[in-house]
Amino acid sequence: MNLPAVAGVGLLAVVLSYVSARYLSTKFVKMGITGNDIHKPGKPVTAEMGGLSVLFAFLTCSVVIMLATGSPISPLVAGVATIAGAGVVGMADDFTNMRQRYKPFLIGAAAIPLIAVLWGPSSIEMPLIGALPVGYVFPLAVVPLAVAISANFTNMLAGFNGLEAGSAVIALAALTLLAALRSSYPATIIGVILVCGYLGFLVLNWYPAKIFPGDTGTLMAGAGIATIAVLAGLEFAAIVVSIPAAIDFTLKMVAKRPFGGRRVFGDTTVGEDGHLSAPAYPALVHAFMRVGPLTERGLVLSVLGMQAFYSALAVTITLFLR
Amino acid sequence: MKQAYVVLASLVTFVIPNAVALGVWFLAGDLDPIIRSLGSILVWVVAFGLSTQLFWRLVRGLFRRDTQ
Repeated sequence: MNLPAVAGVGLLAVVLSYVSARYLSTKFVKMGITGNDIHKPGKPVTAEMGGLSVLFAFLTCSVVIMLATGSPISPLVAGVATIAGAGVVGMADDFTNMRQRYKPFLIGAAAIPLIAVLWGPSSIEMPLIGALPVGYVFPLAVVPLAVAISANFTNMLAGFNGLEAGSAVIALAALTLLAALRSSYPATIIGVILVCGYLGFLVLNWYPAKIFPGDTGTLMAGAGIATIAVLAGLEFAAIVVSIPAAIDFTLKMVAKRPFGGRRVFGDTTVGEDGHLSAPAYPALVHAFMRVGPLTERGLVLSVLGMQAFYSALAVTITLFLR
Repeated sequence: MKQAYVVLASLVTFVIPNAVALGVWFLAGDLDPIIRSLGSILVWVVAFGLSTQLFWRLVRGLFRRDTQ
C-alpha cells in the first residue's frame, strides 16, 4: 500500500469536506434547506443536509485515488458506488421526507455493485468459531442486509450536535485500522477517505453546530461501515462497533409503538440550565439522560465514549480472539 | 461518571446473545454447516432483542429519574 498516497488523499478529504461544509452551512440557510436545533434555547435555524459535503469529498477523493493508481480496482469501485448510492438515497430523503419503510429497500438496492463483486459462496469469520460457511446467502442476503441495516442504525442514533459524525469517525477509524492490518486495500482507502471526510465535517457539526449531516450523512456512514466490513472480512468487528446503534434501534423497535415514540411522547426538551429531559420512551440517549443530569455536549461525549469502548473492543477481539 | 453504568449494562446486553449463539453452535455440531451457521445467527438476533429489553429494565430499575 502506498502510504504517502493514502495520507495525501486523507488530507484532501479533510480539506474538501471542511471547505464545502463551510460553504453549504451559509448557502443552505439562504436556500431554506434548514432544520431547527431543537436541543437549544430558542431553537436556532441551522443548515441541513451537510452530509453532502462528505459525499462530495468522498467521490472526489475516490476518483483521485483511482486515477493515481492507474486502472480502477473493481472492489473499490463497487464500494464507492454503494456508499454514494446510500448518500443519494439520503439526499432524496432529505428533500422528500421519504417513508421509513422504503429506505431499507432502496439502500439494499444500492448494494448491488457490492453483491456483483462479492458473488460466490462465502463464509463469515467469527472469533472462537472460525469460518461460518453461509454459501450464496452471503452475496444474496448478508451483503444487502448488512448495508441496509447498518445505514438504518446510524440514521436512528442521531439528532444531537456532533453525535452522528463523531460516531462515524470512531467506528470507521477502528474498522479502517483492522482493514489496513489485513492489507485490504479497497476497504482501507474507502475507510481513510470516509474518516477524514467526516472529521472535516465534524469541525462545523460539533456543538454548537453550524450544519447538520441530514440523512445524506447518516446513511452514508452506515453504508460505509458495512462496505468496509464485507470487503475486508470484518463482519463481526462491524457488529461490535455497531452495538450502540443496534441497542438504540432495538429499543425503539420492540417498544409498544415501534418507531412511534417521538410522535407520541414528543422530543427531548432542554431546561434553562441546559440540562436535557428525556421523553418517556426507550432509546439509548434516554438511558444516558436517566442516570444523571446531562447537557447536550455531555450526552454526546457519553455516547461517543461508549462508541469508543465498543470500537476498542472490536479491535481487541479481532486481533486477539481468533 | 454515572454514565459508565449504561456502558456496563450494554456490555451485559452484548455478552448474552454471544454466549447463547456460541452454545447453540457447539450443540448443533451434527447439522449441515450452512443450517448450523444460519441457525446460530438467528438465535443471536433473537437473544439480542431479548437482552436489549433487559438493558432497558436495568437502566429504568436502577435509575428512576423523572421523565416528561
